[in-house]
Amino acid sequence: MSWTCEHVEQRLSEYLDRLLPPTERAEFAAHVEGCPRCRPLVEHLGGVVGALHRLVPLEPPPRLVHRILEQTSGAEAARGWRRRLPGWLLPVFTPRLAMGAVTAVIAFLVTSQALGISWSQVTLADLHPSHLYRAADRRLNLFYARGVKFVNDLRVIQVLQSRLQPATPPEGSEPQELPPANKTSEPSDRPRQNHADEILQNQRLLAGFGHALPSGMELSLGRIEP
Amino acid sequence: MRRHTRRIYNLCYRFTGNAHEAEDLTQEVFLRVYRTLGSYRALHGGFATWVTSVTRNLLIDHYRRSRRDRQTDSLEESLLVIEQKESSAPRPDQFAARGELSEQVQRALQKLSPELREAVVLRDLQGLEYKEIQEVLQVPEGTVKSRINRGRIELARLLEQMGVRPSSA
Repeated sequence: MSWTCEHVEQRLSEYLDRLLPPTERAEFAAHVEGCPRCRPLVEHLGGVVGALHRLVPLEPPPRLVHRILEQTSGAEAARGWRRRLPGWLLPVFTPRLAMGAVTAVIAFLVTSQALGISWSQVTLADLHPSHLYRAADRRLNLFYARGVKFVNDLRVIQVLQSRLQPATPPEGSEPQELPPANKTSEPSDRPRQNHADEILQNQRLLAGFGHALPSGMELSLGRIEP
Repeated sequence: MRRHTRRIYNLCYRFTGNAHEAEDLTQEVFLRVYRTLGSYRALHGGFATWVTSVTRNLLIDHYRRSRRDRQTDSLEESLLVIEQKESSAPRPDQFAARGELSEQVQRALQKLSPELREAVVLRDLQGLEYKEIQEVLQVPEGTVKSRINRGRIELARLLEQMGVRPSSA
């Protein structure tokens, strides 16, 4: 076979890759040796192929390996539901916002509990603004009434203490005379009454005090046997 | 894993010429390999050849997608890009002065048609045998030889135009 320049160009890569059979390789080389057109082409192409083989492979960025490992090791799958969310919803799942939301829910539950809302019995009609207002108003009045009662109780206790105070002698003064009822039953030189007599005395005082209590306030004292 | 990542990343980079695209495509390749691992049959060649086939299919998909995107661009935008490229493109002597052979080869590769580019990249940058390239590209042996040869000659011509004449040593 006589090699033409077209043949050489068609089999050029096979020659460079040493894929030509020995006889064809020899014929190829013989043509190129004596051809002013093919020789520079073979030399230039040989140089290009050699340069390609000598190119140093590029190093992929380290984050790429991490991303691939993350994607194929299941970590990505665990986070998959978050990827399917719309972009504007993603910040909702940041720890700060999640904590804020939990706090808001707890505050809401505490407030609703304080307002006496029982969520198991709530109907749609209960959520009407006028109903909510009335419920809040009722609850507020109840709180106010309880507060007033508490203050009144405190006042009663204060009055009781002030009434009982004269029974104990002030420091530095001479002991006062006992009431006549006690005088007859006990000797005057006894330093102190016994406990039952003291309670009896208090009961008598309170009996006289009944008219001083505020209206609506009831004071009940247990009967104490002497 | 790291070895395969480097090989696939290089293949993607040499084909697309863009580091970010190569990164995304490499990640996509491994995700696809991971999902379709069950379809891998050892009879169809080695694992590396199979991964290369997956990569090549993705690259072709990517090329078609990006070409379609380019075609949808307005004519004015295209002309503007061409003008910018022409004005910013260095002259051959400037290119040679830079001396970055890898970059020069990359620029020349980008000018090849995708069929010739993938054949040259697989043969000369990935070091695949003709038989393996035949399996990856799913084309006859004669077509593989022809594409490699035409691709190399075209690449050599482009590099010569750029003033690059690498020695064979």
